[in-house]
Amino acid sequence: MQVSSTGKPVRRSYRTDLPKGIRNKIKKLNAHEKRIIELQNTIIGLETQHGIVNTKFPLYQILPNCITNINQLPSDILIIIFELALRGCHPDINRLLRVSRRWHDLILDTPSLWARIELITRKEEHGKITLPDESYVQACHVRSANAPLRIFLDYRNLPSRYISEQQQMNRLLHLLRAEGADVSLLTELWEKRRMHDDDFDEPAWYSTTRSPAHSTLFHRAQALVEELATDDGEHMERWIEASFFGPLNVDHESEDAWSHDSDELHPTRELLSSLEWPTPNLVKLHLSGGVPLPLLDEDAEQELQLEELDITDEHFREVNLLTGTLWETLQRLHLRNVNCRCGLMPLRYLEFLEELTINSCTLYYHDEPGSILTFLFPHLKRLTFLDVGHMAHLIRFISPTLEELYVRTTSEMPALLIPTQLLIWEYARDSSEQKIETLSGVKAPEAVWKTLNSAFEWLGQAHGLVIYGVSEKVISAYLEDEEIPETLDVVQTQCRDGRFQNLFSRVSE
Amino acid sequence: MSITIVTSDNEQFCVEKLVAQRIALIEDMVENAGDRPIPLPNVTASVLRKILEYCEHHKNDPLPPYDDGSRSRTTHISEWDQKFITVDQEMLFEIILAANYLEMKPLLYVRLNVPRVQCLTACNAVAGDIGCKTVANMIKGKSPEEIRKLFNIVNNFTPEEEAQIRKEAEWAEDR
Repeated sequence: MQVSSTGKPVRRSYRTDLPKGIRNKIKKLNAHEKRIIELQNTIIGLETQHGIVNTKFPLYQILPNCITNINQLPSDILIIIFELALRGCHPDINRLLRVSRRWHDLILDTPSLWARIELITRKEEHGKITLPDESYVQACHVRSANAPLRIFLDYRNLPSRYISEQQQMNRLLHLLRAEGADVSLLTELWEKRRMHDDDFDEPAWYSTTRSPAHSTLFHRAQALVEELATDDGEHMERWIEASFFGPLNVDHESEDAWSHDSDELHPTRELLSSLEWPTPNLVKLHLSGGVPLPLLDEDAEQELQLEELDITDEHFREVNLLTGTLWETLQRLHLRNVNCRCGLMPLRYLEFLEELTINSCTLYYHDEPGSILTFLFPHLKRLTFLDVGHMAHLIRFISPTLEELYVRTTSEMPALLIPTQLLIWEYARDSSEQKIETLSGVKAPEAVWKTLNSAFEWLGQAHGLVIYGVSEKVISAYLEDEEIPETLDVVQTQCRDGRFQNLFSRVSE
Repeated sequence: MSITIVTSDNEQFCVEKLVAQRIALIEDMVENAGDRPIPLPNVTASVLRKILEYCEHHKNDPLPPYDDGSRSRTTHISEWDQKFITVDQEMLFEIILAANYLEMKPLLYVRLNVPRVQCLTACNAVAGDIGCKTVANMIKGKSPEEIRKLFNIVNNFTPEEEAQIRKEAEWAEDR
């Protein structure tokens, strides 16, 4: 066969009087020649591509040589990673969707990844406050299928209509600096006033006009809550966990603001008003800040069946425990900012409680005359006091099944004499005390010694003691000086490198 | 008392029983193995060395101290664990895979609701989900392109598909 240099078949001339059989063979031969040329062109094309790939190959060789990479992780582990990566920034799930086809399909096929809705006001670097829009909630509702929902609403950064003098000044300085103006005289005068004006510390709040941006954000925040309650609260029936942080508004601090009692001046009530539907499956509720949640209203026609409640003293008194079944179902209670004895009163009805945390309690003996409050918790397993001050003159706990007692304190504390199997004692010292301890080696400052004395008073018949916040050398020195109760088997601490160490053990390993 | 573990590349490790017991798979195998070495055909020596380093460090751990800010710090990793897990990506994923195979959930992810009292008495530490947490922290806050570049993932969407997905989930673009 002959092929021309241009890659086209050579045209040949034949006699016209050839027999038909030969003419057919010639026709077939021409067809084969044509096919051969096509294949030759394909080969040339492939050789060209091969050359290009060979040229690029070294570039790929210098990329990280990951034999094991993220794509080799099984789907269940990848889902755990996604869950962790999305905590606190769940709307970012849309970014993960766009990484690769595998991630996209896996996320869409996993309803549990969509069963968490986070509505959090975020402050960007330039001060802009942002929220996702309603399509995010819609997507979560649809893609979570029928999975139980966890709701996290945090509107703490939602701007208040009221601003303080200091905030007004900051705004003014921000504006002037943006224009390149010299603000030195203004800041000097402001500082002078701050230093010498006796009334400066008095809170002074001023109403401002809502800016269009603020109004948009407020309406979006409200629309998002309405979306949670959409379809007559159909999706609220799936709620198993809800956490609400209300806006940090001046409403609760300024009597002046309260005196104008209207919905506009009570933005949180306005924001959350649509959450009026039943949440029969809600087992875990966290409320912080001013959160007038309609589902907790006395006239709400539902009985809460919470197992876990995290709440401030103020709210705790408002929750009507006796009319519902809450007193039967509640197992874990985290009570914050207790300011008076009446804040603890509802505890008397929670006899099925298994875990109780009292965080930040300021009761003063002289301010709280009256008999000692006694609480009976027949099923309590874990009791935690975080910065509770001195309560021994006011409160008694009877909890025969207690396994663990956790105390976090900044000073010595009279013991409440609560029998427990394990005492965890955290000395929440400040940095200045740490310095003293470092400078004086193993000789601990008196405050540290006193808190260790307190720990051993609280210990009672406990078998285990774990101490945080005191160096292992100081604890060892203390243990050498003090008599260790015969019932105590183990004393453990966390070393500076994070490791846990047994400083005393009767149990052979 | 110690036991012998043999890795996939045929290296033998003599390990204190208390340390080895932190690995659930080995704990289960010890009773049946008697004095015989325990084979781990899916774990190489370099990876097992790292895992044993972790077990040794955490052998006396109870649960971490009470953290009332835990809601916002669920991906927190302690200082030692942070140093431990500062490895190249290949080793990081090998550790995660090995922890999964060895049923070592603490190294893989948090085992929730384990009472601290049990941890103290049984010396059964829960040190955190450092493997998955580390990868999660690497992903957090990054754009799809940054994630692809970080993990060498090929973008196998067509431009049209990518545009469609972006359109369907653009709720946070304006955040």
